Amino acid sequence: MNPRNDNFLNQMPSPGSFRDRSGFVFLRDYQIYRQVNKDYADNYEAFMGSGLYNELVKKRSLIEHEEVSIGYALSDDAYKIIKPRLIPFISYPYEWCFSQYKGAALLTLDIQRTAFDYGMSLKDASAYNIQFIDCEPVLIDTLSFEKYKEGEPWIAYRQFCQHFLGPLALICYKDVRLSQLMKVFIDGFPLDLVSSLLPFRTKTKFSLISHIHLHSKAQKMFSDKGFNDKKRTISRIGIISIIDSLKSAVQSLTWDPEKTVWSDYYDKTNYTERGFAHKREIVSMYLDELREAKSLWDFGSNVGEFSRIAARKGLQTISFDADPQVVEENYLKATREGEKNLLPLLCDLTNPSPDIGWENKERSSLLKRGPADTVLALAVIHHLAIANNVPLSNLAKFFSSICKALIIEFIPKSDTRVQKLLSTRQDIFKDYNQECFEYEFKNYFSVLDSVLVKDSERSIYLMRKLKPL
Amino acid sequence: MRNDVNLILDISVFLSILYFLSTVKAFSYIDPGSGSYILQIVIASVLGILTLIKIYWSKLKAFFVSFLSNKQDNESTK
Repeated sequence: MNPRNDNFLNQMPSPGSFRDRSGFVFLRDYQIYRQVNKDYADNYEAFMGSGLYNELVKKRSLIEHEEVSIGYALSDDAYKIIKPRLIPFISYPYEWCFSQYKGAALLTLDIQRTAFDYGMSLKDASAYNIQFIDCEPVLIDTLSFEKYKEGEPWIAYRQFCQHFLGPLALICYKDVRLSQLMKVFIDGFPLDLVSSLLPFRTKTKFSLISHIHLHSKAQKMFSDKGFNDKKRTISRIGIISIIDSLKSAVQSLTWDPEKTVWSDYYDKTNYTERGFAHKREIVSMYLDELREAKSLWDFGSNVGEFSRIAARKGLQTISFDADPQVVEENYLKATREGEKNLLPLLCDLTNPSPDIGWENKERSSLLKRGPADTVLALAVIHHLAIANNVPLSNLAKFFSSICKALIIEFIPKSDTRVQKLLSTRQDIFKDYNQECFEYEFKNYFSVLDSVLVKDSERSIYLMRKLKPL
Repeated sequence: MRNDVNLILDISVFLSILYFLSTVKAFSYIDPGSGSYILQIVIASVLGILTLIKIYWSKLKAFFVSFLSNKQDNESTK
């Protein structure tokens, strides 16, 4: 729901909003709206009238909306037009750390359980329907609810297992990096794949036997048979037991990582205490100079030390790192302390999230969700230029495509961190020096200021993107 | 009676799936909808029964506890 998204054309349904015939999201004058179709009128009125909407908004489980003029409708079958609160940044499951993913799963089950008490049920359990505001998960699809028909099973059960339980079980029992498979499987993990990857000991856990292993087996067994026996129904107590069982299954999944390369980075970093404090001062001072900025992306943020300086100044800050462990730490710290304006996310800058899904437009690439007003790139350029062989000219061009202003740190070859990177490779980076760095970046940015960090050889630059001629 | 037959059928499906519990890869096109639907009915039946047993068990326990304590009270007043 980023109005600046290139995929998102004015007065056209959002490209990721076509599956559900109940309505769709669209953009009008840089505002996000949702059309409710006449087909969904009954369910919409039941949802709003039953008190479920108020209850979920009160619990901050659902995005609030206001009804606006029907004149905004994009087609004749419109019943109502609603304007939901804007989400600062749309993120996807493959960008979440474990606790974010688990939080999104538990929220979905909690909403389904609450909906059930109001005679309604979730017809979708897509992970993409959950977003984060100030680190709190929230459901954004207001049209996900339908009236519960006595005896019917939970229609979104399979989707929940594929979007949430499968990925979380694989992270817990196998490897945290498997969450990246969500980029490949747009409708969640195939359960036969999850079942085959999970270790044998998961077949001793009732919740995983039933919701994953047997589920996958049942899908295979009945794949070509169809099912028309409408007389076979599920009692209310049966559905509630399934939701409770899924909830305890998710709650029992934990991820306890060992220390990774980056998680103790600040302890071993090349700065003295005085140098580190100076670096904080410089970043704070530069952020104060960019008064018009509202959003900031911090790349290589680690546990978010510098992201927090921006978040506390009121910038909508996305704290990106490629290491799931530090993103987890960052997120847990933010939720523990109830921090505002901060969202830690997983992102490998050498391979940022691509456009995926139908027509490659359903889920936007990271770049299409930008540009950010400001990008903070501290202690990352040597990784991109030396560890990933990206020429400085390409780096300058890339950064100019994702931000309007840039706070970037240059780390010279003499720095021990760079020396460590060079120790295992041939030094083919003849132009990796401060002079070339400034020359290349000046093709895209005007350098407003630069400061050498105390007790170090590292410099921090404040740059503003040049206006196109 | 009909409910009992359904229950027996559900449990037999559950057990037959359990019997075939080994990893099967589904590379070909499958429609996973039917299997998910049936499995949900089966699991709901099994879990539903367990929940009912749990509820009745606690009621039964509560009944005996109060019955026994009443008996003890009566004996002590005698």
